[in-house]
Amino acid sequence: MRRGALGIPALLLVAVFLLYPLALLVELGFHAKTGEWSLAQYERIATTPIYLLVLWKTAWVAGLVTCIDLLIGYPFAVALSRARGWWRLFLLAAVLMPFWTNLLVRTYGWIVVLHPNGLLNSILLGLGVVSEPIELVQNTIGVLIGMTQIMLPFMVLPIAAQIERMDRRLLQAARSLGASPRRTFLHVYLPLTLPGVFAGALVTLVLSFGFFVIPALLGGRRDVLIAQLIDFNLTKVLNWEFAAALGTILLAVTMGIFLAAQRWLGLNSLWTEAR
Amino acid sequence: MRLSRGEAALAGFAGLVSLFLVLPSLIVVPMSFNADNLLRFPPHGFSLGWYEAYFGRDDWRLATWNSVTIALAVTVLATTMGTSAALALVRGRIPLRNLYIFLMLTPMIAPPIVSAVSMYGVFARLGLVGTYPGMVLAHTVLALPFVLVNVVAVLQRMDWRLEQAARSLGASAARAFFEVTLPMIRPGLVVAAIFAFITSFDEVVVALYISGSSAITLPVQMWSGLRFEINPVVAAVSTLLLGLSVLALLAIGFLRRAGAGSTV
Amino acid sequence: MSKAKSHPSTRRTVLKGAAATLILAPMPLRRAFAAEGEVVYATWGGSWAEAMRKAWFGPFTEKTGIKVRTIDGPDYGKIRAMVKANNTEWDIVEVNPDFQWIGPRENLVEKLDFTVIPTDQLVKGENLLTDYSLPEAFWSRVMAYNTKKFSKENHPRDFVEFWDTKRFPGKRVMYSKANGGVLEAALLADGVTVDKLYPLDIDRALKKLDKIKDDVLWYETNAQAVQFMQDERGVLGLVADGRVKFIKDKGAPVEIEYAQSQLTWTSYMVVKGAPNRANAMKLLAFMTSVDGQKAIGMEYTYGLVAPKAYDLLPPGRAEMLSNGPQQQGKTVLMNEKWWGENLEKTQEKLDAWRLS
Repeated sequence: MRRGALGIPALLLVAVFLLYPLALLVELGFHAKTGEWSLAQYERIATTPIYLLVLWKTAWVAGLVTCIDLLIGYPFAVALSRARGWWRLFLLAAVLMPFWTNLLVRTYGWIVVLHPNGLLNSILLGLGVVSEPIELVQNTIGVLIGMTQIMLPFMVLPIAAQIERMDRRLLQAARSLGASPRRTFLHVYLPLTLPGVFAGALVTLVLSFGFFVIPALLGGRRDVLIAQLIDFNLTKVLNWEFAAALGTILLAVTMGIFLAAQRWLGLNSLWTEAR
Repeated sequence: MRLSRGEAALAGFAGLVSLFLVLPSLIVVPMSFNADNLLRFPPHGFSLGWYEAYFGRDDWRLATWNSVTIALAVTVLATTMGTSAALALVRGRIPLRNLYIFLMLTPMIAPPIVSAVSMYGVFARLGLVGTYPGMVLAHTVLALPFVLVNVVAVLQRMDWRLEQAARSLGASAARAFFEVTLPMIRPGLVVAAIFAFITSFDEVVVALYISGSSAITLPVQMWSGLRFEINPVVAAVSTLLLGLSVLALLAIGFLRRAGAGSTV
Repeated sequence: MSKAKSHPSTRRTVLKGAAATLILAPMPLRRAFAAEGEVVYATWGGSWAEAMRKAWFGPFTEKTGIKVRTIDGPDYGKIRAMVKANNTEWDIVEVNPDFQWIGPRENLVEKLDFTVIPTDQLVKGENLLTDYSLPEAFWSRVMAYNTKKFSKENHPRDFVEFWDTKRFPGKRVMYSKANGGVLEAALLADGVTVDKLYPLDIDRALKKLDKIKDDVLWYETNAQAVQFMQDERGVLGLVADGRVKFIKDKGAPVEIEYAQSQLTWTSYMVVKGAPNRANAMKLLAFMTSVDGQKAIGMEYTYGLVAPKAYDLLPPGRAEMLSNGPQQQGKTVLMNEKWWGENLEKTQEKLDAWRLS
């Protein structure tokens, strides 16, 4: 089919305005600071434990954020798709709300809510749930809370869209054939929403790899993520060669995760031709 | 309508998650009425000074206008191009499709600062830095993967026999697409368009590089307001945006009355 | 999406529009901006930019007819990007002193024209003046303490005491970047004398940091440091003096101890290929003159780079500035040359320590 040609304009745009510039940067990563071809940057990454450690930590945080978002986001999307009238609008407003507030200001909002004498701790102390303030920011918990909130809409909306356009007659059919609600959910409802889940999870995971502001402002001593190191090399010490190598590895890792998800999670069908 | 126990639990859960989503944004609202120039909570005194500062300054108004118009252009461009790419992926034959998918997702994967510094060189050579088309192109590139992922997801589960039926009844390919396929994938398209708009409207890192001094967007202006010290005008702007979005949703609500049709 | 139905060619129209945009993209129209009477100044922005407008830019334009256009955010990455793309948009940048060495090494800056810029009036000191840079202003990181927890009589007076978590319990607010003074503080706390500070013994400093690692709140931006002190989450801090003075004036319970305050500065540099190079030199001369320094001393609390200007200030004003009389003999000058050469390696070690 010549429908394949429909994919050309988008690819062309991305190729000219991002892939080509990125390729120039990636190439830079294969040079020594002095200019000649060299694998020095990659040697440095491989022989300095901290870079692999940070990469691992980044993957761990991104994966965790994706899982939490899936666990909260799925039921929320179900609720959203069932809601009607003003309740629906309220839920929708809640999903879109984070986007209207500047990231830095929103992060500041989190600090106000979470810090030891902040809103949440005051409430918990007042209710007697805890006897001492709990440390919720300037540590990994803070990073997870902040990232989970920011990424949640990216999980919820695709799933909700998928539920929205689901053929409800299939559910009725399953029920009328005597399937229990649980069976109906597991064997009919869930599979029908999987493309939305995959879309949401993919976006959440991939975006979480590049986080910079949140770990910097809500994190603590141990919260160094890869984007912070790349930013430092690009904008503070101007070692673009090294930043390029770090960036290339980040791209390679995300691609690896993407391919692995396709192969092992049986999600292959999602990106291949629909029959 | 009577709610079953399960439904009530689900609604309760959704309410809690909503709180989680809105709380850090809402907390900014009282801070925008702070009388002194520190962003602090609880606020000290009451003042509309930060709103005056916002409305009184040309640079803030211009940045707002730039942001809205750029984001709208990006929404149209990215949704159209992304949807056709999604159609190509799901319905067409693309050589090296895994590579194609990966390349199309790159704008989402590359950390913003990496994209920003590498894009700058090419944009500068084309004379696009600091121009309106430059900003639209840069943000369209960033928004494309979101459109692609969302539209592919809805196209996957689409019943193509309907389109085939339309074709066999004599509809042209275009007509079958616009009258049969499009209405069916509408929820996904709306989400894609929302993401495209937001990607542009909320984006700061690439904009810092590409917007130069003559196509400054609201996030860039806000970034400037937070760089040296925290300027509470930013809280006022955030509050205004929140208010506007709530108004927009209320308007939709009144237009649709109780819940007919879908909004997502 | 219903509009598309009534107008099936929408998609194509948009694509055409995009193509047209590409083709008709204004080629170096930008050059037209590089008008005769202008100089572009990249600044940290905020209230500092306001002060500069009042003290420097307004009077300069009045005197010479040259307009000063400010742009926020003199980011090193952007300087490199614009120079490598042959698209220099800025003339003067205000930068941290490490750029005095990073800039020339990467070939991103112009030599200054000292036939236009007099330097006799400037403060003397190692590394303050290079072929490529002029000192802009002094500032320092000072020990700040919470006045509810500690008093004028009983608070840390040097870094040995700053490290004493038994006598002075509570969180310490410190900068997470290696060149943010934390390593110097650790070495001073470990008994290293000021004259033996550089080259820094990083391993020794990190070992000393281990002792208080659970008592530190790390900040990434100055605004965050202020927030920690203001929320009283941090009871001690190593924080930029201007920021502490600012919140103190707003009623926050903080006080400054100047002992062992870490003195550093910001620099002026001119970007390679600056569109208004000659005007930039004139503005630099204007700002670093004794009169220019006096004017900024009235508007802002940064330390002046022309010592004579202090004498022209009204009584009491000098004490409010960084590196003013109140601070004399109590400062430790940062060796920014060492940092310009060693920041990368040192940050790597500090990050490794953070993760350990």
